[in-house]
Amino acid sequence: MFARLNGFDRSLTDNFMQLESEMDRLFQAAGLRSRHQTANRSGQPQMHIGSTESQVDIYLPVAGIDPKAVTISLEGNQMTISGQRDVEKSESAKLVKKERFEGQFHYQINLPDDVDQERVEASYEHGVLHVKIARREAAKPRQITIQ
Amino acid sequence: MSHQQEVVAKEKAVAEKRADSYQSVRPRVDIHEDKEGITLLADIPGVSREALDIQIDNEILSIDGRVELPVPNGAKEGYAGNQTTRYQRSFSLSKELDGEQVEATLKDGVLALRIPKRQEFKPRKIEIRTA
Repeated sequence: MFARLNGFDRSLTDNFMQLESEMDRLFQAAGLRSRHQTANRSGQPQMHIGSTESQVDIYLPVAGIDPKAVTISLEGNQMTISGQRDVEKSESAKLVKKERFEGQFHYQINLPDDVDQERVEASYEHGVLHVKIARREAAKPRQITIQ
Repeated sequence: MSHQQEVVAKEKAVAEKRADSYQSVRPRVDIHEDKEGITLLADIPGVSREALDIQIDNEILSIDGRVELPVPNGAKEGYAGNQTTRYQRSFSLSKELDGEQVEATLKDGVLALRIPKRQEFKPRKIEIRTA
């Protein structure tokens, strides 16, 4: 009843959302985004995979997880990354907007055939999981010296 | 324009293009509201403190963070890390919120912004005096 009296309850959250979309629209109208490739509006950047002659790197953006709760396995040239993400909850606060991903994730990646099972390293920094897999020596181009 | 100038100009153009070619991503957020204020949580994995810019201007809160992935030695053009992501999103703060008192923390790619309500909008307990 109190909330209805001063109209406070609604305005706070409504303004937030309404004006936010307005901002987006203004940015677009001003052409500020035209030069950028606007990515998926889902808000999560995609996984990056890159390779050089000596290694394959996987960058998986997954913020706010416990890296110990992530399982990384390599079977042949199939890499599996799976884990669980929990987001902050509060009993006293009301959730007025919920967009962040919560739950389990699972990725399966086909790697080149020459990856070295024994040399896999993983690190987690700034919310990005980086898995580095070394490639076997034999696969690297060899330089042949002419005698 | 001499040949050398031309090369320099070309290099500059390439560098500018590279700096400009990023993927603009709207970060996902959760917003919690309690009696004292709001907490905004945004997922911006890959952004370090140094690469994050938060501004409040005219009650507009803007988040702008760049992701820079390290590139291993000997990586070729087109390597995954070459493309950068930039998180950009703006919010308009409603009058109840105090933009002067924002607290920001960044941990493991999660940005937490605590924005309190202005004093006059916080719930007050009214004492009842006995007559």
